[in-house]
Amino acid sequence: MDFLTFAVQLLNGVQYGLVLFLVASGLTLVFGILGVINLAHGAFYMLGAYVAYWITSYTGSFWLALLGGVAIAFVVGLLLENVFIRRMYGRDHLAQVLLSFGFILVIDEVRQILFGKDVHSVATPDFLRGSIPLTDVLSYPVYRLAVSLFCLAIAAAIFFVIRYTRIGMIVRAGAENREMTRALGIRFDAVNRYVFAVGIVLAALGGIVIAPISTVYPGMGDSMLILSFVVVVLGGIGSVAGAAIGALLIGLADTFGKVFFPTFSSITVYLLMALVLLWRPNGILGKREV
Amino acid sequence: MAMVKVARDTKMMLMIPNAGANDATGPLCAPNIFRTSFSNWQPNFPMGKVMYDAGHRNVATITWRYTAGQEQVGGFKEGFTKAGGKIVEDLVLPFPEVEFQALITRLATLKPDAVFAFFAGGGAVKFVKDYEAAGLKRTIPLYGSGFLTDGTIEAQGPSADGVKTTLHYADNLDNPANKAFLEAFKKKTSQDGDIYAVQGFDTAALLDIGLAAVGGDWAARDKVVAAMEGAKIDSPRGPLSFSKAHNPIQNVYLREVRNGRNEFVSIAQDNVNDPARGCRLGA
Repeated sequence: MDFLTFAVQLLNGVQYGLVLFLVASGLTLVFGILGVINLAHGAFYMLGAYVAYWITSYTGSFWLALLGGVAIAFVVGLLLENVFIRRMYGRDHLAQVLLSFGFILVIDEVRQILFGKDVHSVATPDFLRGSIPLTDVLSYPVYRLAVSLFCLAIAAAIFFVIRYTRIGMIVRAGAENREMTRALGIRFDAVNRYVFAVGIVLAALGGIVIAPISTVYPGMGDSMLILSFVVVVLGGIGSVAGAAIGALLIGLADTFGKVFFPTFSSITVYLLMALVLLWRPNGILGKREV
Repeated sequence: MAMVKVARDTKMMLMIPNAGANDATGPLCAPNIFRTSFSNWQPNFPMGKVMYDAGHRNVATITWRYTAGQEQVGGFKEGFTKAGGKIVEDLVLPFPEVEFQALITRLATLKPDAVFAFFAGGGAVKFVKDYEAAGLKRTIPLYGSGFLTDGTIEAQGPSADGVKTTLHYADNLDNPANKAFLEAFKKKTSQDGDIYAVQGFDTAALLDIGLAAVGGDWAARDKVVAAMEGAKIDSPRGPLSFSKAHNPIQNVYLREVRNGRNEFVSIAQDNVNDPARGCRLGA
């Protein structure tokens, strides 16, 4: 493989990893900070894509779809937390799995009723169309670069909020020692609600942003869900930085796996996860003590 | 295929209006199993000669790693190598993954004369879009099994323009049966008919022939089967009859995506009969 091809594949792997990070970051926040397993994470990703399709088909504006999708996801997240998730804190993971699996079924049916089973596409925003020529044959779509930059921006924003704002401090304190933080007078009801809503928003954002590339189809949430869990487990539950590292590793493993080990490419990702877990059972940046 | 096995054991009449698995009219063929759609081999074998005649000598294939993918590409490979062409590389990715970037980059490195792809549904939409976005369509022509562009053109948009595929149907086939069918279908469902609609339509037509032959007496099963075996249907897809293995004998058409649909270019091969390898019916 010559250097240029290697560089392009590297770019492919990193870009894929960044999108995985965007979606998985929501999962790790909900799983790590709220202690809730949300199997419906992939369904919200799919829902984000369908909402993007719906809004762009009516208004023709991708930006409206972005803003609208985020707003809808935020509100849905707040509502779901208030009505359902609230009763799941501290409960057996199996109960959470059952509930979130129920969400998947309901979301699928709702999507079926509203949009049917067809495959749809969302147009790339005009100024992001076009491709940058890399070789005489191959070009790289500008939109994919834009998506990568967007994911980096979101990563920076999450990092900034968690590290340098008051609410980030509360979230971190709650993850480390909830009882003590409560004893210090911090009320978690609102914090939990916002964290869950943000988790849902991140999943939906992944779907919205990827819709022009990936097209919008019913099964899109399933594979994303499994990969998101792999990323979260690999990086360490609750660690956003870990999710970033995990996502990049998986993006690269998947890309190079497809090229170098086509027969085994479906297991490179899981093999990587197994190896990392042997080395670090709690994930790369996971907490050492349970 | 599980259904096929059960049908064989219980001798229940099984009509297959869409599934393409070669084995259903191959090693697992049976008198009570009829297929009105296609075998995975059938629409792709003629594409081999088409691509060879178009001047392509070194072709790369790409599909999902599952039975349908292997059988569809297998049919193409058989036809292409028989005509004298050479397969540069067979690219596969796990089903149903849709992250094609790594393999599209690989195709750009390989620089084959053309690419033959089999995907269906959401994967087909994404692949064609990704292929075009990577600029490959300009220099490496994209061909495929008809499923690459059937039911997916609206979502694919202009990225599908010019993609040539072979299938046992084309949206604008100029025969009276097709014209009548499309009109009636549009009126009844306000949707445009496609190959899936035609296959369903033909399944009912075949059953009708079987039942008419026995005056509705379903118990006279052997006569029903005999009538269906000998059926010659004037289908929207062209002349339709059935092989000894109960697979359709039908024309395969070369189509090109133009004006938002798969337009008929030429008959790639007429009265294509799947070899039904392994079937012992009527042997």
